[in-house]
Amino acid sequence: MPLFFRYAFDIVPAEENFRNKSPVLHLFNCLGLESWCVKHVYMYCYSELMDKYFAKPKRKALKPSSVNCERITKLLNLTLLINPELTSLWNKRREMVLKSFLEKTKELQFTKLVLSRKPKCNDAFSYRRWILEAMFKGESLQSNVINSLITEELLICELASDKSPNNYHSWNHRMWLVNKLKSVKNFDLHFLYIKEYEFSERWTSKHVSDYSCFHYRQFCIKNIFSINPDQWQTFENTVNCNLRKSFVKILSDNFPNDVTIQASKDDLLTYSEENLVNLLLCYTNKNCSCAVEHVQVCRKLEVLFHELVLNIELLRFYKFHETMWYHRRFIVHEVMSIMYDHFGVARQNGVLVKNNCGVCSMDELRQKQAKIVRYDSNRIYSCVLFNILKNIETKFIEERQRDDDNYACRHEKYLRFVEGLNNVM
Amino acid sequence: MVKLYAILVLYKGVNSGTLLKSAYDLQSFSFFQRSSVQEFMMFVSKTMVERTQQASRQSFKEGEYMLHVYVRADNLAGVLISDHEYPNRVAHTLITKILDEFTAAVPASSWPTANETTVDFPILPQHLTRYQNPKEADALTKIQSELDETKIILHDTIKAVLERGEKLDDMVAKSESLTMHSKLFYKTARKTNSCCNF
Repeated sequence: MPLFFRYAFDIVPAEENFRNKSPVLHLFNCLGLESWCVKHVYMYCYSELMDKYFAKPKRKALKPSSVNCERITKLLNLTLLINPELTSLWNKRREMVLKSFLEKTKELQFTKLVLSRKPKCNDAFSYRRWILEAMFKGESLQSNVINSLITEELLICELASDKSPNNYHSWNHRMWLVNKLKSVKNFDLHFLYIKEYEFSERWTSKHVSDYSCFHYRQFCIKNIFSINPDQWQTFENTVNCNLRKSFVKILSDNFPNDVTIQASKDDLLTYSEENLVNLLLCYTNKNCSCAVEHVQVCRKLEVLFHELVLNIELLRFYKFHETMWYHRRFIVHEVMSIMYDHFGVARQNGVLVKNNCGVCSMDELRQKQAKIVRYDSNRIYSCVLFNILKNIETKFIEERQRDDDNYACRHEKYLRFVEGLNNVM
Repeated sequence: MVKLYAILVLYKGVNSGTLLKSAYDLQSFSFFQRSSVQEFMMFVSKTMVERTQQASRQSFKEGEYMLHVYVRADNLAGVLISDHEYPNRVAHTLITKILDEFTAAVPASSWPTANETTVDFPILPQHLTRYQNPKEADALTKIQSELDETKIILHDTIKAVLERGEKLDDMVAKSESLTMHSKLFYKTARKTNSCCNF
């Protein structure tokens, strides 16, 4: 359905009623109200509602009943369309849904109309969440019903995000939906993860300074870390990119000079995940005997370096956008934490400390959070992966600085003082 | 957001600019506002072409929009309306390309007397959709950056090219090309923008 025919509501500016015509306009599924009447209509509906149907200290309010529910609904509809930021009225709707005076599917349509005019209305989003929660919980839904609900919900989020940039509420709603579906049966969550990853990649490349959508992108990346290993192939097909190949390319372009291992790009392509991880991270000095999940680590790194390549391309093309630099911080931070994790350490309050293995609790008797001696940390920072990352970052920062991008300098400071790499950079 | 809203081709006459061809993408505006927004884009483009010297390029920031104007030495002018994220360089390259195509398709002798209905140049809407993705135009940019040395003058607001004492509000009020409805729309838009509009 083209955007043109979507249901929408808006107030149309018209100073006076000089034509003696109805102020309600209806064109191609779009509902309009002329602005001259808004004040009168709103005042009437609002005070009628407040006087009769909301409790006051001295007077009891009329309860919604089958006799008056139609009238209340009409009043609520109009007041909320004009001014959707009234939580008490939304609560009145909730009350009526609970008593079955309002239908849930109709309510979803109504909020959609509200959001078409006010895409940042948090009350409308939270009301949707409430309705959906009840729908998911109540009856065991058929999978095609679930799918159509999800498609609709994602579409609404997309429209709202498109209409108003940096729309925290719509992205937050989208995230809530994905998280909510974890507890819903009859539903293939991993497929959704993959679809959303692909969607967010497209979206971020077109909305380069929308920080809310970059936050959602980070959420999608973390979800991809948790997909089943056997769905990896589906994932690669969907993003239409050979992740291993591009990972190896960026690695071989940035190998440190002084390293004794000489591996060409073609050599690296033949490596197994285990060999590749061993090459990049040398060895592990975890204190327990848990096996290292080489495939898992390798795939995480592939995804993150793919993101790094995308980020480099976007920063070169669009230039001077703070949001993309912040996204880069996220990528670097994630790579670093995979590395620290591999070596069984963690950065706390700016210092590296030994970390207990999350899987087995063998280390519990030892002193907690033992500080790491310089010798150990040197070994961590001399691993191939870190040196490659360092090369990429320094090269890129220099390149951007030549282009007068002030954010490059700030990125360097971030790496030095927040990631704590001052001694090793 | 990286978005193109409109491409317009105009002719800069002695006193005023005339519109030769235009294409719009107004899907992101509410249905009832679209006609007013379109009229407005036309009005502002005309005004800015009138206020741009021959053989020069200018870009204006106005609210959340960017207006790129290029007037050639032979008085043919192109205007491109985008948002802030659309790269300036790409926008200007695109205008140059479109004007070249226009020159090839429509004989120069007809420019001074032509208007939107008489000009046969149907390709603008296609360009508008295609170049929503500025990377499509990236290849063009690389060639162009060596060829074209005309400097782009960047203004923070349209006010920069208005004469002293002149106000956009007055110009809107005086204009004959805008309908009552659009003038009202402009006024309300001003009002809602002036207080913090969440």
